[in-house]
Amino acid sequence: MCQWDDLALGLKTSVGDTLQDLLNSPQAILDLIRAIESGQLSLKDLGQALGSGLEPLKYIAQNWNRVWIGNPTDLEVYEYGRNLGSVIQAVAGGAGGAAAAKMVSKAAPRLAKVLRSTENVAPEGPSNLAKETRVIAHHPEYINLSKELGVRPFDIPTNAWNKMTPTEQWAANQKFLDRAIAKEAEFVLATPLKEMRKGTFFEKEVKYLMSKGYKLSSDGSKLIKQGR
Amino acid sequence: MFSEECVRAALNDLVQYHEFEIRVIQYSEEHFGNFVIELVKRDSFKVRFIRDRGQTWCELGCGSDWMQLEDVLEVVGASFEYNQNEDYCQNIKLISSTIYHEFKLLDKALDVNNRADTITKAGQIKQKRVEELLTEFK
Repeated sequence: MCQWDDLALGLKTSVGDTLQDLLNSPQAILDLIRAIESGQLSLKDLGQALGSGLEPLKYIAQNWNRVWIGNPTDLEVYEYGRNLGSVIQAVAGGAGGAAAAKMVSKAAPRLAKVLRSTENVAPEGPSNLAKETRVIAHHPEYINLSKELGVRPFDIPTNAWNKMTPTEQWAANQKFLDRAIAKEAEFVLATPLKEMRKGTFFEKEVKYLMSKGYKLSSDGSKLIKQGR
Repeated sequence: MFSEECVRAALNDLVQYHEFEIRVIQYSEEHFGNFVIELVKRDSFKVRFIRDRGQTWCELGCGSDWMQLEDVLEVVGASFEYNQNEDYCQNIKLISSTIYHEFKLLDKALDVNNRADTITKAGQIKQKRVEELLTEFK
C-alpha cells in the first residue's frame, strides 16, 4: 500500500479538528498499524472493550488484507483511513473506558501519548466555556472571519469532500457542530441570517443549532445557547 | 476537479454578448473546492457565482449590496429554479443563460432609477425568510 495521502485524508475526515496533532504524528499511526498487524493489539479484544456495535472496527478487520497486502484503490484506502480515524476518535473520546485506553497505550505508546496530549491541550471545563467560538456562514465569509478571529473553521480538502456521500458530508459537518455544542460554544454568523440561502449547508447548520436550543443573539450576529 | 476552461466557456454568452468582464476567479482547493467568480459590466450590475461545500449559486450586486438572483427575478416577475447541488459548470452555464435571456429586465431593475426600490423589495423577501425560520424554532 503506498497511498499514504489517501490514508491521511481519510484520517483527517474522521478525526477533524480535535485530534489535529495526530495527523502530524505519522509514527503514532504506524505504531497502531504495526501493533494490529503483529497481533499485539487484538481487534477482537478492542472490539469487546469498545462494544460490538463499532462498525469502523469491523471494517478495519474485514479490509486489512485488501488494504495492506492487496492492491487497493485510492477510495478504499481513504475509507480505511476514515474508519481507522473513527476508532482512534472513539478511544480518545473515552469509549471503551480504561480497558480500551490501556490496550492502546500498551500496544501503541506513541499514539497514546498524542491522545493524552490532546486532552491536555483542550481540557473541557468551566474555565474554557466562555472562550469557545466557532464561525459559520457561506463561503467565503466563514473562511475570512475564521482567519480574522484565529479560530479553526469546518474544513475538508476537496479530494476528501468529493469522495463522501451527501450523508457522510453532513455527518462530518454535524460532528464539527456537535463538538462545539458540547463545549457550549457560541457560533458567530459571518453571513447574516437574512443573507442565508435556502437548501445550503449553512442553513442546515443554523437549523441544527436551533434544534439544539441555540437562539439568535439580540444583535443578530451570533447563535448562542439559550440561558447563557 | 476545477476547470477554469469550463467556467470561462459557461460564461461565454455573458462575456461575448453582454460585455461582462471576468474580474475574479478564486478557487480554494484546500476548502472543499469552494470558489468565488465575479463578473463586472460597465454601468450595470455585478454578477458573482459562489460554490460552497459543493453547492453553487449566483448573486447580483449593486455597489456593496448583493442579492440572490432568484430574489431579483422574483421582484421583476420572473422565476428560475435549478438544483444547486448539480455540477458547478453545468449550473454556471444554466444561470448565465438565464441572466443572458433576462438581461433587459434585470438591467432595468438595477439601474440608478430603480435600484433602491429593487433592493428594498429583495430585502423584504429576505426578511420574510428569516421570520419564517425564527417562527419555526420559536
